[in-house]
Amino acid sequence: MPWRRLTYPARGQKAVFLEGDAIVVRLERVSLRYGDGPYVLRNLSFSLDPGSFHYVTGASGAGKTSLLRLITLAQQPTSGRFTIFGRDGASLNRHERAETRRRIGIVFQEFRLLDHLSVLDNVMLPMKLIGHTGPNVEHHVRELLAWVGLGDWIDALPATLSGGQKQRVAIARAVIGRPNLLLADEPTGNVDDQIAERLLYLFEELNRLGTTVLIATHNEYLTERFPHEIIHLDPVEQAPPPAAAAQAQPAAGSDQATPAKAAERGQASQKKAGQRKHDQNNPGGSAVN
Amino acid sequence: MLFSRPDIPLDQDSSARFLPWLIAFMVFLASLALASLLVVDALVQRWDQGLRAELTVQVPPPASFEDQARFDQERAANLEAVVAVLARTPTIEEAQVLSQEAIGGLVEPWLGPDSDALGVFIPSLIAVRVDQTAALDMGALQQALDGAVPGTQIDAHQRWLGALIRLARSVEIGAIIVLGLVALAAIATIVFVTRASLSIHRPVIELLHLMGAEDRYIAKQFQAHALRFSLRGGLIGFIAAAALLGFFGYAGAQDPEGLLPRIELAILDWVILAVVLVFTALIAMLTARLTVTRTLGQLR
Repeated sequence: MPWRRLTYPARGQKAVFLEGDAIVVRLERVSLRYGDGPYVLRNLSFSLDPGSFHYVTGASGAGKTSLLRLITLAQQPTSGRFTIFGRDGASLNRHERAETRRRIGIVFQEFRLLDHLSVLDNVMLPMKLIGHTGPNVEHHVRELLAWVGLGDWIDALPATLSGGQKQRVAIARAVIGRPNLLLADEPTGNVDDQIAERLLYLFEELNRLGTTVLIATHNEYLTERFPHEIIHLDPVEQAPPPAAAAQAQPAAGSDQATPAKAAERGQASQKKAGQRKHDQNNPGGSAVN
Repeated sequence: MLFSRPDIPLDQDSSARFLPWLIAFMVFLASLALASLLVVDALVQRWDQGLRAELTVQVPPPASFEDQARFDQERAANLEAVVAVLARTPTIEEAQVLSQEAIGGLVEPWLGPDSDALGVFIPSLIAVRVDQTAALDMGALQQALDGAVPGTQIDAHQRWLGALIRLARSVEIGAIIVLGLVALAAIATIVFVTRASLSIHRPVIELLHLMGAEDRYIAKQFQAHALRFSLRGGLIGFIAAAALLGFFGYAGAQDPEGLLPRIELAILDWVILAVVLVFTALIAMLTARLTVTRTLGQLR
């Protein structure tokens, strides 16, 4: 795999430097709503072990993006407990929050590239933020961009790129600093399957080097082609049901996964990597590890 | 880092176009105010210094005039006594008795060639040079002189200039107020513009925050931008002020009567004016930095 030849500049030497191998992300009965609006996430519990690889699946509106916002500390849970790298998300001060975020690589669904900066400068940005600049770093950035197929677009401005190209720039930007945690929101939404596979190789390679990966996607082809554990979100049912009713009558549209779906996925996962499901509204049974 | 390519496209703001000119105008005003302060101060110093070094002591003529010989004798004795007192005073370097002829020459336009003949007896004058480094106790000297010849007066020329110096000082205070107001206006402008920039570039700043940028990383870009535009604008203002001052200096030199006060700046004064430029840039930079860190600090 060409990825092996990509030598990263030292950033604390290794990607893995978790304090006492703390759980990377842990959610305990986390609910989220914006203001007085409807709940976007409800009683969600799961955890990500260091070096694990998870998909987050679910229909649009199921709260995938909100979940990622929560993990990037852009959003506080309305209730429940959320820890990242072993620390309570609510307890972090401004500086610690920035520090934590520098350990996370994010691929935004809408890319969020800086329009006035070249592809090269966009990808360099995380390196600048951790204070690594210079010709050596630039060399690595060029190498990575060549690998994601943007070798000829290094000096281009984002406005001149196609959606798929922008997506690859966003991904290169997220992985260049070899983050401890990689979050990607529909990272293959704008590319064909061949490039999508290439990007998944990239994520898997990064994962092998110690990065914990969480990818929000609804590309079933990929989740089967590259099987990993799946956290499935269903849209939260808006009428607040008694907990017992929700347990007894799970249905599509409730905030709990349907048994059918669960079984389906469970079987699919058993074929390859032992996928597990984490359902909302079922805190007791859903926590991994 | 200070001049590396910024992540936040501040150069594309409309304020990036007008702000340098605003700063140029402010530096221009501040430079002129400071130049007038320096010129007036130098003028006052010159008056002050020249006059502080000299005193004139007036010895009254003898009270009665009966015959010329006795009068002259008495006058000479009085003068001698006064000169003796002056010679004893340690801070006095030199006491020069003006000859009666010289004094007569001074009053000749009014009194004619022989004032004594008119029965007007003019006092004797002694020009005294004082050591400026030591303080002269005027009270003690006056007392000593009174002891020698009652009615002897010390004429410190400074007194005559008091009003003029007070006027000059008020010009200086005015200049300082202008400097202060210009600085305040510059600071207020930069605070306002920086806040506007912060809200214009909010999406980029949010993204940088999400990627783990510290507030001071963002502030650094604003402060580098402020430094750049204020140096650029300041230089324009400085050059304009220098050109105007140069013209004043030239016009002053062309005036043969010497009626206009000479506007001349020493090398040191030019350095001080250049400091205005540097100082403005530093204030702009610091203001931008503080505004950004304070505004961002208020965000969640």
